Amino acid sequence: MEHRLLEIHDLVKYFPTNAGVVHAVDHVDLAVDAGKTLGVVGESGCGKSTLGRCLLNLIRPTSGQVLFEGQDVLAKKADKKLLKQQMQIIFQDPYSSLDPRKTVFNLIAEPLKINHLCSSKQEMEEKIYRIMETVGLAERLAGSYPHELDGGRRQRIGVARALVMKPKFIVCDEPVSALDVSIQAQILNLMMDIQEELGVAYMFITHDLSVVRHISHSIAVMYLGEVVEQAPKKELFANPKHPYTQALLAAVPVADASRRNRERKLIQGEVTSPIDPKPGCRFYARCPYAEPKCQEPTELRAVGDGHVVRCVRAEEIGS
Amino acid sequence: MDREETLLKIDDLYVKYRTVDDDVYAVNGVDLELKRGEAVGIVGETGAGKTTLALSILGLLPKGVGEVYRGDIYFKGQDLLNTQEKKMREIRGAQISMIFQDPMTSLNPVFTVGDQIAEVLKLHGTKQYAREQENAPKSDRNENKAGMSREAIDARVDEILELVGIESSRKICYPHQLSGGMKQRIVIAMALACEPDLLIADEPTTALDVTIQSQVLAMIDDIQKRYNTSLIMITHDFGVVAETCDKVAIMYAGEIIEYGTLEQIFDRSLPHHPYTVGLFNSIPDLTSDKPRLEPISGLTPDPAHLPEGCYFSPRCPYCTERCTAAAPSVTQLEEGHIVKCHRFSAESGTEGR
Repeated sequence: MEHRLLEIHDLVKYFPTNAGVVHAVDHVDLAVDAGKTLGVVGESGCGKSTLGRCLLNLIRPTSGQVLFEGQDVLAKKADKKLLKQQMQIIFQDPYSSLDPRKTVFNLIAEPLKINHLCSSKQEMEEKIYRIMETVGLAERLAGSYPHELDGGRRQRIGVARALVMKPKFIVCDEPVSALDVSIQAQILNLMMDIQEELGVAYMFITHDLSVVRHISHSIAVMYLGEVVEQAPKKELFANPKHPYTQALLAAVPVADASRRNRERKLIQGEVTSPIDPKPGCRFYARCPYAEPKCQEPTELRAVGDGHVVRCVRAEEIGS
Repeated sequence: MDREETLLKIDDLYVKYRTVDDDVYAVNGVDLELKRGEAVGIVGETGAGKTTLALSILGLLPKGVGEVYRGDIYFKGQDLLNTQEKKMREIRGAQISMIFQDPMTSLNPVFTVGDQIAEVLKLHGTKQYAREQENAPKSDRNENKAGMSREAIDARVDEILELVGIESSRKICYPHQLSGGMKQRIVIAMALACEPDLLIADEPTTALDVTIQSQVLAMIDDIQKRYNTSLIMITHDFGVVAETCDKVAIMYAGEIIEYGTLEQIFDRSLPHHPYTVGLFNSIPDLTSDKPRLEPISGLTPDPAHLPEGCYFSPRCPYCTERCTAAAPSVTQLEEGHIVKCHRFSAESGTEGR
């Protein structure tokens, strides 16, 4: 039985600038089930981080609705304290997201103190050491400062800080991008173990398709603020419908010697500006299948079980 | 194509950095040979000594801090480590050039990109231009530094910009007016302007998006084949290596612990160094499902305090007494495929996986 934990309805975030309005997140509808992982993939500037921050109200969205267990996160009268405990975030860069003047113990204690979650010092210590064990930080590191630790351990602190609140939902904003592959694998395994054990749901934001494939249950592909395709993991990788998803998949370098002399399918050009985009398909300028009708506004539509795509020619292209 | 010319030969190279506390041993006995037109990928994690190796080829180790204390580097037979700085300047940029990781910081923000490409040409000129000048009568020759006329430089800037896929009209732009992918193309254009014999690319696409990365990689591959340039591709990404390289060297703690052709390294059915196996098991795969990744336990050693014996021994699942006692020597597994591991050395008698 799937239980809807988080629902995003028609979320919009525009940033007004001197040059025009940046459409960072443009009418996004998504949902996350309890204990599952939704992967959000896209290139830099597609609005995936803004989306993650809007969910936690770290950036105030322009309009739209975020429902967490039926409660509106963005409403004025929302129980912010409860939401803060249940919705957490892990940031990308373990080098800049930790206060350099705090010890590991104090870094993990901070969210507990702010939210007055512990009645005694003893209880707090217990909680902190338990969470340090969960994320694989040795107890002797409690007095260390972040600069004494390597990237992998620092990111474990980030995970511990989020987990110590016992959240039901964590936004993971590129949590492994700054790490070496062997450390990345350790953190990914840790996050999957934690999910299995504690039933946390993740929104996993990344640009790395192989990582997203590894960790997610379903995947949404974003391009210039819009979700262009969403499907369960297997379906998306077996049967990508949107030309952008196909291009992304083709572009990933795969560790396979037979790829050395293969014919490359490249998409031309670069991401167009998110400032005041034209109506119609935003991938139009780079799309190899573009035709005049693509310039009309397009909607997400279902093409299979749980598979939605924003492309008028999806059926012809997909096969 | 037998008997190809050896372009670069690195012989038993050791590099250390002096710090206030201890000496940091960044490169510990690297042997590498590169033929003309060949592309070798150097793969390793942070701190494996990949960039230090590249900097020592170019003679760009920080003065008074970084020091080659053993070994030799020969480029076209010339001993680079005993070449005077003045001569090195003529080689750098003209015969050996380097693409740095971060295009955002390797361009000068106050000059237009066209001027920055032109600067390389003013200093070194192109080979083709030098040939033309040699044939020209003496009175027509240009006598400025590298002997290239302004018109010739302009023409070459346009030509090289086109080669890297940027309209020549963009040469009047400043770096901040270009996107990350375009900046990296400019950096590549600068590196290629003088048609170098050897191109060293240090994580050239790490800062770029995947679709842009695949464009840039395709471009490097194409140019490398077209000009028969040798390439050293430094990266942590096996995918990038698979797309651009003929040979692969895996580095760990300043050593090349495995070296072979692309096919030999990527063929999982062949025996490999335990670190190589660990690296492959750590990457999530785009084409097959791995229920769980199998990362290498532990961390890369501190290069100031390297472990005794084999540097990988503290993390190695097959570690025996011999591994902590003595450093392994090079073993050849098959033609062109070498490995530094006790499990494969002759006296052990047991063949590992």
